[in-house]
Amino acid sequence: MKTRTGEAQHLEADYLTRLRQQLANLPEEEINEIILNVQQHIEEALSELDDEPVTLAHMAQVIETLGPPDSYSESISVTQISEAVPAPPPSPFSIGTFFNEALEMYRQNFLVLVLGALISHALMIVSLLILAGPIFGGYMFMCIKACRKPDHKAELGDLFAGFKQFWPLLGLFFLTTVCELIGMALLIIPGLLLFTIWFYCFELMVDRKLGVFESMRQSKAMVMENGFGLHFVLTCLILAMDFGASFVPYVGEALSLFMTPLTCMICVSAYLHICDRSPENLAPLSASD
Amino acid sequence: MTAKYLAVHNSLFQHIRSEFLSNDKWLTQVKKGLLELCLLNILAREQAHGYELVKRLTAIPGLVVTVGTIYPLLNRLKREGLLKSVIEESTNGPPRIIYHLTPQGRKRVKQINQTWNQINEHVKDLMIEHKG
Repeated sequence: MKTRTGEAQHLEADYLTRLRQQLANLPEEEINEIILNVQQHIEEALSELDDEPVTLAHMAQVIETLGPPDSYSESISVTQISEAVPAPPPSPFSIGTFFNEALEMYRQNFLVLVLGALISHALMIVSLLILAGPIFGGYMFMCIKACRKPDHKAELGDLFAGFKQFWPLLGLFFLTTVCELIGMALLIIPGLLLFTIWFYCFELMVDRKLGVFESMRQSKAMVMENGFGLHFVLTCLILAMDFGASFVPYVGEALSLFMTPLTCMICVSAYLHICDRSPENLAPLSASD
Repeated sequence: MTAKYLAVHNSLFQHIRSEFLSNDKWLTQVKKGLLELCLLNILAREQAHGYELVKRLTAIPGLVVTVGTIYPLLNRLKREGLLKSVIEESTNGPPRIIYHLTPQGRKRVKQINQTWNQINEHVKDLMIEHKG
């Protein structure tokens, strides 16, 4: 196996991560086989080069021959033409669509989502919010993965996936929460604006494995490009549902356990509308991270 | 270092994406259909691993749109029971997946070769008529 420079390793790992994300709706076994083939492909192509260690330019050359990650899923859909049924028209990017999709997912995974919310709430309280970021990230990851799977089944084990990004999620949680709380203290509106522009930061971090600031930056870009007004209304509705539920006397805490899965699913539905159905809407990665 | 990596990365993906999208849709569909025919015919001769298949298929001018079309195709053909794969461990890299045709796959190669020959003959005739 040829040694690689750090940059080359980084590019290879990033390509494989993007590819895995692109293939997420395939069965795990098929994803692994494609990834293994691609890793073997990279290795064989690199072995034909004379230089060692493999530089960024060499790796870029090999990856260029592999094609963009989205070509893998496009080829799956095109090669399945004979067995395919006509695709339904894309649902509109609207609050009603997100609520409907979230309710449908909630109905299909009621037990897992509520149990996940119960475990999340318990861990957050017991750990004095130290685990809030990773647990919330894990919950988002569980919802995203379930939405992308053909059978839409959520897996409780995914709740702990956020621990793989423990420090970034911890940082993101405290940074955004502190800023949002300060914003709320300044007569609410600044807080709502911050909630709105960081609407997708947890989803982006767990799904695209971005850093703290890159997640915040990309989230802002996605919100601005896809309608700030719509996101602002969505944020207000979600906050009203979350906080409204917890303020109901006597049963508030219990009620919020049932409300959290729904609000998370609404956020994930909006996120997937942008990312999976029109990936060109994602802002390019910046060199600032 | 990160900035350099990201600059290369972004320009690379932009370039690949624009290359890919600029292809004519009809041509892409035709190529992808033919890709299956070629892939099955290669495997009808001998078993091969992914990279070998990619090299042979990309050597056919104008056939392959991107390498990304080949690996998912192998998976689909496997799912349809036309191919089988075995994993061969390697001492100097990731394991290799070797593909070979199943009896059902061999039957399918015969069928699609026959169909292709028939269609090709008639299409050629049409083209000659058109020229005349």
